[in-house]
Amino acid sequence: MTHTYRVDIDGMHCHACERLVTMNLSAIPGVTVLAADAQEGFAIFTAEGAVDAASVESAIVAAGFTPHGSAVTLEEVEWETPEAASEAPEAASPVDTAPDEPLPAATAADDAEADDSCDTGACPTVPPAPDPAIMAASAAAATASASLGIIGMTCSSCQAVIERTLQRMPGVGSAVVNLAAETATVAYDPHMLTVDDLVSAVRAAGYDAVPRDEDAAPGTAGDAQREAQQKHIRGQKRLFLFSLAFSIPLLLLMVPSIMESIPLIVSELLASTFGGAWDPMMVFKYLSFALATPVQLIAGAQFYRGFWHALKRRTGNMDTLVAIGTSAAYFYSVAATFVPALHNEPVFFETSALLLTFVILGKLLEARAKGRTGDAIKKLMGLQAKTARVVRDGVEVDVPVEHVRVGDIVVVRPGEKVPVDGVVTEGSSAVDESMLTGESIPVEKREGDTVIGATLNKLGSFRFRATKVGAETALAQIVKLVEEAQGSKAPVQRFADRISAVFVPVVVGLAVLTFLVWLLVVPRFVDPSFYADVTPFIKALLAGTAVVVIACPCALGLATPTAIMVGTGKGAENGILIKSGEALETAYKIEAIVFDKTGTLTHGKPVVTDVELAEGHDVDRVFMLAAALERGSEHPLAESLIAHAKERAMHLPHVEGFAAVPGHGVEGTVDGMHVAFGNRRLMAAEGIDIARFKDRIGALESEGKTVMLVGVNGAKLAGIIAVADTLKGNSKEAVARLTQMGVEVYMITGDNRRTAEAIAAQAGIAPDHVLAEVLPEHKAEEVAKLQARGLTVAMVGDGINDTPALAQADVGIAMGAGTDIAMETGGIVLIKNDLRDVVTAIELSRATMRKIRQNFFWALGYNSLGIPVAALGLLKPELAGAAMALSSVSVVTSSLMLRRFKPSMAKNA
Amino acid sequence: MIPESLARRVALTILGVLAAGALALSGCTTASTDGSHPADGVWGYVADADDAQLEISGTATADELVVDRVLSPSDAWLVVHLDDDGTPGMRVGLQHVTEGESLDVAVALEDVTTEKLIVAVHADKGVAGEFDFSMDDPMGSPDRPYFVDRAELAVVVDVK
Repeated sequence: MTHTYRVDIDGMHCHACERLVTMNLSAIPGVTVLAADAQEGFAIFTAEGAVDAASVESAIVAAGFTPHGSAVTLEEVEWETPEAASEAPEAASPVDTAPDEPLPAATAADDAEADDSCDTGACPTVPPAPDPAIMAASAAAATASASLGIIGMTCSSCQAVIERTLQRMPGVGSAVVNLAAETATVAYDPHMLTVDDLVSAVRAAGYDAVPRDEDAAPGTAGDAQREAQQKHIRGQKRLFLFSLAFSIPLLLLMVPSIMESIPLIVSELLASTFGGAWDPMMVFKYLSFALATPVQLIAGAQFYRGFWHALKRRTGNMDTLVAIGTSAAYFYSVAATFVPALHNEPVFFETSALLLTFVILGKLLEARAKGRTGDAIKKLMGLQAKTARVVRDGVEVDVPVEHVRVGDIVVVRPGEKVPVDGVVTEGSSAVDESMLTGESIPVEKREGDTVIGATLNKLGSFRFRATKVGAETALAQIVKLVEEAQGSKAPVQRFADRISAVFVPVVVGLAVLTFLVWLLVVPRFVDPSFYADVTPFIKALLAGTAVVVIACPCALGLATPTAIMVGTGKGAENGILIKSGEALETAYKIEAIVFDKTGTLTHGKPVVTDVELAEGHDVDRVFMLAAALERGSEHPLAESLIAHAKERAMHLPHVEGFAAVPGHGVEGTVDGMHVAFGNRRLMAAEGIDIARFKDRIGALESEGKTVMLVGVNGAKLAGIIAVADTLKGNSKEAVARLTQMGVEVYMITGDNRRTAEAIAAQAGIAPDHVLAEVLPEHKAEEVAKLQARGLTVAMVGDGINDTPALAQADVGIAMGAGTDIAMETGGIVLIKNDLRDVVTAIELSRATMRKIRQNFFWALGYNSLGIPVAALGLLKPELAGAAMALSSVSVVTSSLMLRRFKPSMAKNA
Repeated sequence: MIPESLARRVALTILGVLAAGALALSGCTTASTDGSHPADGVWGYVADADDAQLEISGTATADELVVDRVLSPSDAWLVVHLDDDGTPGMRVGLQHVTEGESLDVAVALEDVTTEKLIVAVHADKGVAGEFDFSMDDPMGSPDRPYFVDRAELAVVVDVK
């Protein structure tokens, strides 16, 4: 069945933005976009069957925009035909397209005439559209997704080159490249393209690519990529040592005493060997040339290749700047060496060679540091057990964990790791789940309890039936989720992308300007003695080269993704799964947080809290009577009584004549006595006087407890039992901490106000922040009301009946997901049922954003301070090269500092 | 057996020191890298003693000097200077010689005012046949003298 949905989108500004949204949404299987309107900020599309909100959100984010209110809210709508739309011009009908006709063709055709440029300048980089018809067909038919590992990217300009290369391919719906994770995610039409075609295109763009097998065992998807990266790093290491081997003698040649003696000795050697006359000055130049040339041509070849590929695409990247900078110094020196008219000019071979050496060193250190940003994933992968002991044909055999099948009975002995997910069938033990949940106290496991793969069995032994294996296990899904989050782009990244996109041409322009000013303007205003050592041309050349080199935006491109990688990894270590960079970014802005009451602030299961007895009765007797009756009841509160009775090992007698009295309670005969168990109305109907307990009942109810009365033989009240859903141990602490952090804390519940306020009071939530008597379907509206006040709102719930509210909130936090982390709702999933993790998630988000801002400072600081210094001729090009390399290293190192993040509450716990 | 982590740390430290040293050195080097520092006073062309020789047995007159034998690795100039306290002073004579051996080369002199003259052999590396040498910029002049065994190829001659 086809449904038509509307999704509101923030950030679109122009036709090109509409096209991007259309392309990306159309890449979702079964989705056809009917309209995308930048002005009104929405898209309308049809979907065959149910559409996955997370896919829609990913498509929007991948296009560079944000769903309105941060999380996708899919609103089913009736779409007007074009005729109807033309009759109602005031209605939002941005594109005149028949509903059953895919929009992209129309949109793209419109775009052929429309101006793609954005007045605001706030649009993400939009790939130029190739043939609109091909575009449309590609977008609509892109039904397959491929993940590639990319090798050889140096800065966000490289990222943009690859994205553009892939996006321009007919058959590609969307392509998102992550610089830090070094991955590309491509939606494409398998009828038009193969993964090999995508790999070839990336290679033709001057980079290397390897397909990542996303269906492989957990964490192995990137094995080929890691191998290729290791190979690349080894190659870079060799090049660095090679460059260093030539650069150090070259550098030593610059030391005055060595500069004098070595060329002289060599000249004498040459004269005695070959005869003739040798000029030590020229010998010095030849020596420098001989040392610098291998560096320039061999170690520098990669930069020329990158420069060439970028040039072919009429773009620029770090390679462009390095190639220009080093070539200026090198080729001028070559001319000064071999052109007789320039024999008296100085050479700068050491500049080019040292610059290349420093840049390669910087890349190496950066690759090394970048590798550490993915440590969290490696750590998670390392948790998996290698083998499992399963029962096959009645015999326990050890098999590789990959060979465990669903339904296998797995034996776990003390101290062993649980190999896969399952349900305990025999035995009991305590299992340390801290590696996945962060919870340090081992969890008791008995028959019927679920166990998670990769957790550690403590002292007992047990057997369990495997329920999830391979890529289905909780660990595999956590790894996948974290990998996806690390590969996602946070909106703040757009800032860096926009700057990087214009940086290279601006820098080259600045360098040319610097050169011209130094060559033509400065000499008119300075004393000739200023040029005692070098000519104006040389001064101009050095200043221009330094500007080119210092300005490379490579550090800028790493500022966001490295911090997001470390931040999401750190979250996973603490049992907090942050599903996208966007969720991590939004969480720091949270001003109001809405907790669902049941199951979130409270345990979600009512328990017996109070028992009051009438004279002549004892607890066991009253309980026995009530529990015996409730055994036949389907009332939710019955469970708490039965559980309580079980805990006290009570024998529950048979009930005769059981009857449920709707809205009142239950009654029946127990041990020959007529027992009524229910509310005041039931007691009144039975003619039982409860006057003596009235005050007590009122007091208990004011505490939010449900009070049930036990009447015996239609005359006497035996006692009262109060049942309540109790507050979780750490709820109060978490609420207090959140309030301290300046976050407004709300509680939302379907309960009556009195009960709600009682629980809220226990949690420390003010009565005016209690949203009571709200039906599940209206929770989203309450969240929206808070958003309408201009607040950034997080909703914390169990992700089942809170789905719309979680989706409506700016950040949805799904609690207590436990092993079922496949849940789609919520930008943040908490594995544990611990409210303190909400605090940790916000703290982590704040720490990550702080780190991103620091990174921007480092990255832009180098550039913005370095460029004027270089333009003033105060920075030697080789020092500029070192500074550029250091800026990338400092940004990545700064991100790695985030690994020291410690949750404030866990520390105090 | 050195643990891998320790070896890596040591390697990194060495690399760091090298990089820091390289930075420091590159920062310390003078901006000019044209090799303008004469090494051991050698500021001309280095030749082997077998290829560059100058022999003068007689004395000079106020008008002429005869060089018995000059061996030059390239076309060259015989340059005669006044003796300025042991260093070459004003140029008083100049004669072009071709590569290889030249015998009994007469050099015309003028304005000889000292009792001794210094005769040096300069390479003809600039415009052929033109003496491209300036006392104001000796290092920048192409026709600089030959040096053999780190000493200028020169002879002191008495004036009769």
